[in-house]
Amino acid sequence: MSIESSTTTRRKVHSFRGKPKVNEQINNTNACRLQLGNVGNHSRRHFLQSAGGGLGGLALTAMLSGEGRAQLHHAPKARRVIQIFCPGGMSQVDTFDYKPELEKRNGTPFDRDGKMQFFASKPGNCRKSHWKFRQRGQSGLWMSDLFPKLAKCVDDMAFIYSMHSKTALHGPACFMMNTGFTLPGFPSMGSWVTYGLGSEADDLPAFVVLPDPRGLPPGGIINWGAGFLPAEHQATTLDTANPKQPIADLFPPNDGPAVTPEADRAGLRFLHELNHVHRETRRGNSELDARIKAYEMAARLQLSAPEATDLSKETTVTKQLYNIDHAEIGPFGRQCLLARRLAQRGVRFVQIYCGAENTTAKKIRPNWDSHEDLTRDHGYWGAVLDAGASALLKDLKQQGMLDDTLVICTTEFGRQPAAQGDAAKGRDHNAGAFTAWLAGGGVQGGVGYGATDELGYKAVKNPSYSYDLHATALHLLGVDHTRLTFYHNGIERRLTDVHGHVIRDILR
Amino acid sequence: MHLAACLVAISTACEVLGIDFEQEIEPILQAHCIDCHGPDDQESQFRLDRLATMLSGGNSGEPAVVPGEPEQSFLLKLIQHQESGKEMPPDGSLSKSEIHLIEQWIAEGAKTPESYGPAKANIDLSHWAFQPLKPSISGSIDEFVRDRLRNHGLRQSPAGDRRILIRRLYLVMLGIPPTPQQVETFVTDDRDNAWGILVEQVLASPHYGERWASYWLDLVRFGETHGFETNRERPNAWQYRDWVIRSLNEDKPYNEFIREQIAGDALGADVATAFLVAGPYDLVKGSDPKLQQTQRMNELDDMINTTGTAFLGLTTGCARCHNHKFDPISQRDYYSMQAVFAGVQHGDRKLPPSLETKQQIAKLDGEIAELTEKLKKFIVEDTTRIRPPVNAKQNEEVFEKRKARFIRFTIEKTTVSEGCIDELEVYSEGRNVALASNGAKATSSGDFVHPKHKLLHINDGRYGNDRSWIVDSVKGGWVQIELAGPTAVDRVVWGRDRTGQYADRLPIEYRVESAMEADKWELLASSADRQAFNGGTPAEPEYHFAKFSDAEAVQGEKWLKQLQIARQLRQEREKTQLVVYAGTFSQPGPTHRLYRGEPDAKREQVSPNAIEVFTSLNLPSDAPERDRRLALANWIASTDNPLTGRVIVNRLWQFHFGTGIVDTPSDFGLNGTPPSHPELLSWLASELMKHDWSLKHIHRLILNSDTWRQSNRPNAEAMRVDAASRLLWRFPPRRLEAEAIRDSVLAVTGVLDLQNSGGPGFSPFEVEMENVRHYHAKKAYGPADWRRMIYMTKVRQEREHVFGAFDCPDASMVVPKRSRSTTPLQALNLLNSRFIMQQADLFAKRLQADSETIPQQIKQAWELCFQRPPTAEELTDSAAFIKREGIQQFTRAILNANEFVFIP
Repeated sequence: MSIESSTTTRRKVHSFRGKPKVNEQINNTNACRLQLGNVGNHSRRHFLQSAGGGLGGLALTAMLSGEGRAQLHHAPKARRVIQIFCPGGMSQVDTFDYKPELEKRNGTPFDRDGKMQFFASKPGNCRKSHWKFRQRGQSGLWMSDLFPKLAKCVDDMAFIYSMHSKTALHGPACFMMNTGFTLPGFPSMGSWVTYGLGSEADDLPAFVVLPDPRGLPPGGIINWGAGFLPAEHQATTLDTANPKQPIADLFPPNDGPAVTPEADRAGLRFLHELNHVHRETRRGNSELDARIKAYEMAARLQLSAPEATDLSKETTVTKQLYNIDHAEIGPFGRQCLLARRLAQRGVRFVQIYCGAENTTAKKIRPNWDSHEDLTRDHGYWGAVLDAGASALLKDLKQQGMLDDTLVICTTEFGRQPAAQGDAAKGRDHNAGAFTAWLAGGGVQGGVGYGATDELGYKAVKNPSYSYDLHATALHLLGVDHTRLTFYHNGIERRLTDVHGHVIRDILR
Repeated sequence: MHLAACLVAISTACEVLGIDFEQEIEPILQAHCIDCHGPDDQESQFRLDRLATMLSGGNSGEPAVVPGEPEQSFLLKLIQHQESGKEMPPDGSLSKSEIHLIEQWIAEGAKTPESYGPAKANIDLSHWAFQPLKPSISGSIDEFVRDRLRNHGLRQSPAGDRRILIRRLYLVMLGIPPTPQQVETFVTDDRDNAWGILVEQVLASPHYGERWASYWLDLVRFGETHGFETNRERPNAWQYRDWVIRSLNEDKPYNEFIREQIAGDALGADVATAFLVAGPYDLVKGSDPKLQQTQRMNELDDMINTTGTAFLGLTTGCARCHNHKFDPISQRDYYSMQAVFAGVQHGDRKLPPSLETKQQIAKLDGEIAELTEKLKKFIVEDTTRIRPPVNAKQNEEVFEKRKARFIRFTIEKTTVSEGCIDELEVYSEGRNVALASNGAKATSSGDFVHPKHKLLHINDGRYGNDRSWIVDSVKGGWVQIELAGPTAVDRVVWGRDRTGQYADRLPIEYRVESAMEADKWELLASSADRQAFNGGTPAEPEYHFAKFSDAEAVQGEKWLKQLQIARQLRQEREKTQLVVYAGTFSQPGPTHRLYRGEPDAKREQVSPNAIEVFTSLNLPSDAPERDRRLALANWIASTDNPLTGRVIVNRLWQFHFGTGIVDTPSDFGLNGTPPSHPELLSWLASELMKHDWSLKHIHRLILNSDTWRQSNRPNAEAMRVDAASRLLWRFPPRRLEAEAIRDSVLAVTGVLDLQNSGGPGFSPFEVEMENVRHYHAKKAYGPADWRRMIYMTKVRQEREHVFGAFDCPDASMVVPKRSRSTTPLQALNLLNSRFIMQQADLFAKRLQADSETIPQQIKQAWELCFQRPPTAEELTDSAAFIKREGIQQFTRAILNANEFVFIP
């Protein structure tokens, strides 16, 4: 008995986009109306989604353009997100999290009784920041000299000093920051956002990922997978190194039999005719309609994607701001500039990677994972991030976009305050503490939230998991993280699992 | 002091009088607890007005009241505010004396009046899916479906025409379209039972297993790489894929199919246990023990969850941290099931040889022994190579005692890659002076960078692969121990892996040297006087025939030849012994319930068992490992199990009609949706059992029904009532899955390789063999890629370049039903990818080779792709288009047509 009644309660509370209930659908002579009536505010979207057994996101988007707002849980502050992900584990004590006590104890044993075991090593001595910390801006928040340009933006940034993770393994920790779970296969934040909000652009994908030109992050493409959400919520990756083919298979391969653009369009017209004749006797099949529209959208993408990725139309000043021609920091600068262009054109969620996968082949670490030589590797990646992220913030502000664009910068975990290696030049993984920062889109500037202990080893004040960061981001987009659900294998899944609190202290 | 005295006084009074529940306890519960934990509401599925739930506790899985044991009673911890985040009551606190009264009541045995019910509640199993199957329902698919339609004022659609039906049958059952000849034969077959004959042909086709296996592989998250960060390959996983295909084609009874996957090692079907370990596995293990425990719990959770959802349609994984919120599965049940799988580890397993192979090997062994004996007299001892060959476990180098400061081990050659040593020991009067803990210091020419393999492992006193060192060069690298001071040493001991698990990277040519001061090396020992390494088998002695008489020498040489042949045969026989990624088994230690699922919050020990409300496996807590799995398998596969049969027939139904009778196919619990046709579901389940669990029998019933053979055309009235066609007033239309689209393309262009079935798969990727594997889309395709997609190596976490976008699962999770989305990226892949451009070209060439005129080519294309001739309009339009744009553009468009990728 008790089981029955709690089921009922649960269904009452969460009814946003649940699975269709069989009785609601067919025990009624007018299934459609009942559904519309039953599901409440979000019914239209839900209905369109389920009518006819799964309508493509494309047709859905087209049908819903102009009424997106109506589906939100509350008024949004941000309309879109640009997220920078720094894989490998960025050190908090060398960047944002100022620890004078660590400086004092520099060179003294970190683990006095020798019982601790870090991820890959025994702790070395306390190691102070490799860069000098200074107070910055009006707010007087501390930042190290690793980020001289970003330091000038400090009054637009909100820092969560008390981030921590459930694991010190790169792959699972990246999964957690992106999907809320340490296991692979769950939908990423970008997928959830587009699932909840759809797209604002009708000629570009809603969720775009710009991987580091050096390679994919730990765990690979699944970091932006749609998991069990329909494939239409999967990210599209843009290859900026290939302006002729920025999206895979956007055009026929240029080394094959030549297909002129005219022939290509003629082919599409012929296909369109075939499909229309076929459809005549099969009216009301939304899957057929969606597929016809998908080919129209594909044709539009052929025009819009090369336009969006073509940076040549930007002014010289803008190009210089992003340093796009610099051999080392240019590639990330280009990604940031491209992110701004995509956001401008209505892309809902852009994720940029600042760093690639670990490999044993390279001399410099291809990401922030600085086990052996933090000055070398954080030095390199710090300059990259500093230039690109600061340009992005400045540019968004100049374009008047920062107010409704949420910028997030994260890593998967932090690093140890103690040194690693014989030369004591590196730092090991630290799941216990790291810093994330946000800017724009309803976030207060120049504030800090939470804190680590005096050495920066562990988050002690307001420890926050990915759940809280995700809950906060969704909140700013007008979505209640507890009500954005998708039924999968017996569970109404959420980005935030059964956790998560909106971090109101950093909101405007 | 005063208060304490007071409490003593109270407690003494109580002990004398005894607590009166109704007078003293119930009022407290009424005032503070019962609103949320009583008849109206049961937060956390906990109520305080029933003795049974008081004893069993709520969602946390912790017993709330343990009579006589206040210390172990969770209720007390909550009201004493000892559980952070769960302070009760949430809006305040009970007074000290109230808490004390409750404590006292528990200490006295927690007596409650009769109205609180028995200590063990009768669990309500009236939920439809938990009801036993009634064996004697009569009916037919069409009757059940028509009944339901009639209630809604609807009727079934007329039967589809034969061209539609044969296309549908081939696509649904085989995943490839019928050839024009097959269509022609069926369309002109005027026998009464032409359809029945065709159904039987299709069910007997080997391509049936190839089509339907992919549904099963989705469901059990089968992949051929490990996933996670490194995503390394699992080269011995494909055998399971072939086992599933074979089992389906042979129509293996479904109960056997289940039993073998859980306990095939006990049933002569070893490959099948690959099911248990088909999921992702993290090869990277941190040094932190808690992290390692969590990883192990996740591995077991994957097995419990997959077993529960795949076979039982129950979300057992939900009870890991707390009692299941909807279904009668307690946390204790979950850990009882964990005890069933606790001895299962990921990894390759060498399968036992077949009886025939065993006999052949025994015979050859006899022959070898006899010949070896006969050849003995020809052996001449090699006096230079007197020491036994190197072995992977442990090797000893004994030398004359000498004073040394440094000991260096230089690796000249290994079996494969950079050499690995788990420990280098240097002895002085029986004491290992090389240990770091004895003040020795290790250095090397360079270390292979890997979290598992470190220089500090070389002299840490611990053995095994996880505590080993790997040199960074293939030849000439060294490791050196600087002893705490000059020491007289006489022995060096080393090994690759003392635990015997690993034998790769074994140094086979090396030298051991010592020095008193840097760079003045003196040789202590080397591989030079060892017999040649030969893979661990005993060394072949050298035979010398020259000094014997001719006749003897000829005889000896003949024996030697025979011996070599016998050995080779034996080796070949051994090779036929399969190595399969089917997991390894070992007797596990005790399993405990974990509070909140946390590895360091152990509670009571549990015995291996299934779900208590359904059954008991009656196993002791130390039951042999295999018995545990076998007992669970037998329960799942028994005719008494109310879920197993219903769940599988529903899955079959779903893959026929697009949606199951229950549209939450892996959740038949209280949170799942009820069946659209409950009697039909039960009837199909009982049909399955009546016919020896034959899945083909169910297919036969479905395929021969009018319901399946209806047209799929719309009907305005029915669309208004039931747009989703759940009531089956027509055959619900749907798009093909990725595999069937790819296979269909290859079939119509004429290059599909149907002969090359089974065996190792073909990869859609070029793999960069980094420590962490990188997968890049192939840039060119040839005949090796034109096998059916089921034989494409399933790389976890990756999507095949062209067809992955068509909702292909990435094998991270169990997938009972794929989503079916439509995206512009699918359109781009199917229009422009190299794969499709090449196929369009091949298709054009095929048409031109087979048919002379353009109208004939168009007609052939239509018959190959759509199983019908083109209409006059289609013919003229196509001819005009070909004339303008060429035939490649035409074939490319046809392969993209809606009609081509939809089931009619």
